[in-house]
Amino acid sequence: MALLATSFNLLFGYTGLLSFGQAAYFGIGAYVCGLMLMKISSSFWLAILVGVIFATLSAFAIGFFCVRLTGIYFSMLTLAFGQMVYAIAFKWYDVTGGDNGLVGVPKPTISFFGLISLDLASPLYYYYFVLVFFILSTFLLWKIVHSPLGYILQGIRENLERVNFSGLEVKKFQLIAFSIAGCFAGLAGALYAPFASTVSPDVVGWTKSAEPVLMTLLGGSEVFLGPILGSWLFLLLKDYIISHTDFWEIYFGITLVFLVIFLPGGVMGFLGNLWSRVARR
Amino acid sequence: MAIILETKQLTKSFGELRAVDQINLSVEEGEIRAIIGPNGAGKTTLFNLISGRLPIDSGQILFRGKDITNLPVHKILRYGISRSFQITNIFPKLTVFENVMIPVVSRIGKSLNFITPAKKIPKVNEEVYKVLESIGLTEKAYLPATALSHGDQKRLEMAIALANQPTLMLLDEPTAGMSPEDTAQTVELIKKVCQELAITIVFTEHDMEIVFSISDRISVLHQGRIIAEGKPQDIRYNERVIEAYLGEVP
Repeated sequence: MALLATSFNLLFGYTGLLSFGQAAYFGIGAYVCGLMLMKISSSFWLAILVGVIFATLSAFAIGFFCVRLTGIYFSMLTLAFGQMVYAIAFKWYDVTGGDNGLVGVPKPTISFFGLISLDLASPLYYYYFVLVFFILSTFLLWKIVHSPLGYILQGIRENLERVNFSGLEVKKFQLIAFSIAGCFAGLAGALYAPFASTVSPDVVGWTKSAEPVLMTLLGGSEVFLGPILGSWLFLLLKDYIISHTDFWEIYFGITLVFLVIFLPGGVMGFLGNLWSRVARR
Repeated sequence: MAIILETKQLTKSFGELRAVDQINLSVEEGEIRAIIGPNGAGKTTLFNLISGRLPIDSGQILFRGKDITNLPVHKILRYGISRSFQITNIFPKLTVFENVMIPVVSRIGKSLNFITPAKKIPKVNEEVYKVLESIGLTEKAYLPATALSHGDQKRLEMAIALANQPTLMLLDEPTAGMSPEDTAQTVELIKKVCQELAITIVFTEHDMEIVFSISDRISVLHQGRIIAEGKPQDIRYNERVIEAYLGEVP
């Protein structure tokens, strides 16, 4: 989930595009990976790869239309496309299992070049496996934000027209950001599928799309690690509140309202401010 | 001297209003051309048409004899036409260095590099500092753009425009809102930079002192048309110009 949030923030925090359909690529990654494992091949590597490719390609295709619009219209279109993917997952019984979802995605065994094999049925092994992916992807995203491309994306957030007047085609770079975000969301989805062992349409729906938005707001969108902290806080809060009441959304909502009003830069932004104040003394 | 920029019968209307009306403009390579005129004369619209920010209704724009009419903004820029805006147009939250870095990576073709840390590419550093030095912002390279004074922000915008290594710069009121000292300094800077780098300048300005002191030629715009054109001394006492500025002479 932290990976999903970080990938979302490449779009939101860095490029200034608010996507309400990020779960679509997470879902596509999850479904494709699950289907690969259930029907085609037992290789987890291959399943992840195909899942990520499908997610990236669909992000590219959908992004192609979305970047033509700006602001709220862009966000609404990502939402509409997201719901379309949801509808497909929900209705296409033969492939996706409809409202039942994919049931019984096997937990694969992976081997490293035939040397060592790791049985991912153990949750602990699976956790470490995902952790490695998470660290690698975070590192890669970190590289991206500090690369020339990353600065161009920040330039787009700051002043789209000036980027245009720097000789760059803004839409092209928005599409690149959209595809990269889709790629990492797809990876997060592909890693999720065997772990949860079921993939239901819920993971594609718009409530799921809202999660990275909330996580990012919670953690802070202008700090690279913000969304990661946000996703931890999000899950912690959710778990904590759920153990006390069934109506966790109400309490969560109230917490969020307070956070957005009093900590507009998110928790990370707040800590950053605090740090620079302390450092100045 | 060769003609660098030429417009033929350039026209743009907003509803009933003809903001730019059949303008024939030709600018020679290396000159400093002022476009003056009362508010609403169509100066900014003319810039917006040449730089591709607005689509034109009819007419033609030639840059070094090549037709650039209605090309997208980024392509026109690639031909070597760069501009600044009347209302400061920079990247507020980025540092001065990063502001200039964006056009630099664009120009040297590193815009799709997504692995190397941008600030560690030697060529990028070198080019950014070259521009900052020529404009006198080197010491402020690591300040965020918002922390700069208004005058510095205007100069930063010129730095961004310069980083594209243009051969023609369109400056829309480069000294708007500046203090007198800042204005004088900026005018000197414009003169110096365009001489050193052989850049042709087309600029608009309300301050007549500046206009008469630095421009080689002046075009006077009134109600979307060019009503006079010539050397500063010819324009200063031109009756039609005085009329346009002061209203009908009885």
